[in-house]
Amino acid sequence: MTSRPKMLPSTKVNLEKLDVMLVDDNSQALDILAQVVSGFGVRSIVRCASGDEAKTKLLKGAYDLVLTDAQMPGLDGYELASWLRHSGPDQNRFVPVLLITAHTRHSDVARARDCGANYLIAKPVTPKTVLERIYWVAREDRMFVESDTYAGPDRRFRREGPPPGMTGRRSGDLSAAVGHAETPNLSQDEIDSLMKPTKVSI
Amino acid sequence: MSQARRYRVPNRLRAMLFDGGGKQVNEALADAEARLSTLAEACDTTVRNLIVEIESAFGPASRGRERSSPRNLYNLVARIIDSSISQASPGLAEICASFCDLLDRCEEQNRWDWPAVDVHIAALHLLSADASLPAAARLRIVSGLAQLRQRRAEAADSPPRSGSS
Repeated sequence: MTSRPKMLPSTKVNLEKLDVMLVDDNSQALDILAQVVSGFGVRSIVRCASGDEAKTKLLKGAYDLVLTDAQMPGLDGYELASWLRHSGPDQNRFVPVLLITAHTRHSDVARARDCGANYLIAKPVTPKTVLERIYWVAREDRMFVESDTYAGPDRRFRREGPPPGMTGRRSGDLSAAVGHAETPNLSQDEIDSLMKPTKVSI
Repeated sequence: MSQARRYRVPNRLRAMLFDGGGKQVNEALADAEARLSTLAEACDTTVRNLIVEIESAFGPASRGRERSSPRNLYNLVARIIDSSISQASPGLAEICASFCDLLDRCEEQNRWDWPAVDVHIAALHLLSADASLPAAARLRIVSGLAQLRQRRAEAADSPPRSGSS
């Protein structure tokens, strides 16, 4: 997407002090992720072989980034992210979560968006893709949204509007059709304060 | 109807990433690639073993393959994607993605599409066995599989003709 912050080759990034959690039930996939983030300079890496193990560790320590496989037996990556956002411990509730999946079905992408993850990465993992997402999370200024049905980074950030093919209206949004007024009309003073006519000298 | 609350949260990543130290992006990427290359041999072995396992359990010569679930094959194919880091077999991950799409459809329709499965297995075998296969040929195989999947999906969705088997 053109509006994402561009990661230049000469940009300096410091990942040395990050506490990173990696979650995958496939040990070789964990090795791959560990080598990638080690190459970026990360020193503190905690590896978890399941979502349940990750949950236990997230309850105890604080992390700066979680990279988790989406499909796992037991607690999967989507459920882990959703648990973190809705009822995770204070120290990790807002931690950036990058979901990783081998097969990106449309339904998986929608599920990743709705579980509160920051980004979804398609395998095979490449260092550029991972670092770029970390960079985006660090650069962007997304609000955190909390409702009965969703908790996580704003899914409609940077005023880009809804994704193509989506209506994009929240349940609390007004109807697109103009109906009868539901609140009292504005008073003249209120209208004037909005219009603010001022004299200008030409 | 739920009421949404929107608020800012501290961006710890930003504070750490841009604190002045560390390394340049191109250096970080090169270091990560170098570390990944130490796993290339192990990953290639895993991929080869998985393809052998797939051929043995789901290939045309395997007995009783129809009794297995498409999900079992899907899991094996997804594990190839997990381990596809080497550039030795470009196109392999794309074939696996196509294979996963096909197996998703098989699972949804609760029906194997053996001709399409066999073509995907053959393509996996070809790409992993012949490292000298030119990039253009690999690309043709990947796009050919996409066309095949499209045709098979359309055929599966259309009503059966009388007299067809």
